[in-house]
Amino acid sequence: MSVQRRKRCGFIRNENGFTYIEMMVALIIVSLVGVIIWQGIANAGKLLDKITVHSSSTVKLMQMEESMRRLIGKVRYPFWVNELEIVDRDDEITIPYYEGKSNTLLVVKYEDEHVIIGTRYRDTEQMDDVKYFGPFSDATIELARNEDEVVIGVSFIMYAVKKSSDPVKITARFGSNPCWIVKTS
Amino acid sequence: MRDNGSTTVLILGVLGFLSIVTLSTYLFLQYSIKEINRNETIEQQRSMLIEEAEKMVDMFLHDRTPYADSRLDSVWEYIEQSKEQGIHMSLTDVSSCYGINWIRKEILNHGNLLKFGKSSDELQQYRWDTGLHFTMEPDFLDFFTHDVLNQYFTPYNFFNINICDEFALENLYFIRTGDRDKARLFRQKIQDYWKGSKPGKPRMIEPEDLKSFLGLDYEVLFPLVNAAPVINVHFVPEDILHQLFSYEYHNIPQNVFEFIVSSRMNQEWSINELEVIIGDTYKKTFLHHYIGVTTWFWQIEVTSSSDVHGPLTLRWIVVRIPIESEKEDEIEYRLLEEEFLQ
Repeated sequence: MSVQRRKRCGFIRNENGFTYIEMMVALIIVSLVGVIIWQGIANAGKLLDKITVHSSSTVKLMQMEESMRRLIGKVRYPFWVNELEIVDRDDEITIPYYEGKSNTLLVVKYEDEHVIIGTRYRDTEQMDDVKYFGPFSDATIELARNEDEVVIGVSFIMYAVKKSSDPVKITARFGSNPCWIVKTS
Repeated sequence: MRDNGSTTVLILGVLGFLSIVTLSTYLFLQYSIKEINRNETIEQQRSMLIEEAEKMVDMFLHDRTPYADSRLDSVWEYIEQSKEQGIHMSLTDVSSCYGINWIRKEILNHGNLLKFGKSSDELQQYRWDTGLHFTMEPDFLDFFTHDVLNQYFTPYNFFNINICDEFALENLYFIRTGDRDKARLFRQKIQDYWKGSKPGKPRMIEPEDLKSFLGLDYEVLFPLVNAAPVINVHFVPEDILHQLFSYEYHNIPQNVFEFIVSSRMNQEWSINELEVIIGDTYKKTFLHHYIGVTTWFWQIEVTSSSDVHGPLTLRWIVVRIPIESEKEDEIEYRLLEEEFLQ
């Protein structure tokens, strides 16, 4: 039995145990292999993490874009109005004619790392149906215009929390627009 | 030492944990990729639907008979052809009905359209109090049934100065200028003009007179307020055409009504031809302000289906901008509404 094993293993077993040199060599080999495996696992983990975060944020952004478009699309200006009555100050935009009603305002703002979209009535400050999108390290909200400089919706430029990635721009159009605007003095 | 190899509970645990992590990551990535692909497909479909809708508007612009819209226009042929390519398109004239914001009391009473117990005066007061309405339901359900609203009325219509309720015109003036006093004066100006009318011989403002009648207000009111016929005879619902023809001051013979209804699917009439068909009454009464041959507001719907996301529909409302009577401007359409339905 021991003869067969010797043949298979290809070396003569030292019945007195390992020498220090053998131990050292074995430890060095095991350490090197361990380090290589550890590095491999760590890199794979990082890559996996990156892919997961990227695809996760892509899916989140897509869902966010859909929601933003749906909300801004509910702004429906009757074709006969001559003024959009949009109040655009700092990072907050107030737009009337939410769901076609002149007294219902859509409020869009950036606050506490979140883009906030909600509604309120003209005479109140209390917001209803508030939706939060984020977090972002920064965001710019501006009115979107067509080639004739007519306002047709809202643009959101959002910076991810990790500054390394590019900003994302989403443009959402109003559901309906006036037919004929004449600038009056 | 064992010859058959060795393992420990710890190694098994680590392997099991790694398997679970890998499997869940794989499933999540698979879901993400599916979502991203789905979104890309929807975006492509949206672009395709918009292209198709733009083609239809382009066909309006290149119509060989631009001042008359009928079933004989090439756009209808295009719609038929598109069915073979798996795209469903529909085109609806949404303006050839009574304007819910401006219908006059006498036409309303003649058609007997109000709910039992409601009067045209009450409707006029309601519209005066609440202004112009962009939605018909639920705003007008106190006055009309759901069926009557959808069969006879539309919010998509221009305001022909001759046939609009004068209080509706006052409201419109106020919306366009923000000046309530001037709006009141504008309404009184219209009422004063109409005072010169005699039964069967109404005073009317024709397109060539509109600019001088409106004066400085022309710039802010035109083209929303104009003197062009609001309803297209080629697409108007039969009931509305019959009501307008049978109105006491119009009194168009039944055989004319029947001729128009039976032949309009295969005919395209110009304004002059329509005048010949209807007779002298057409120009002598308000009839030529109600009925014409042009459609002002179109609803375009384009639907495509995909295994990834099911049917996706683009709904557009486009408006044809009325041109000034003395100008031969190019015909212009504008996109008023865009909505994707899924």
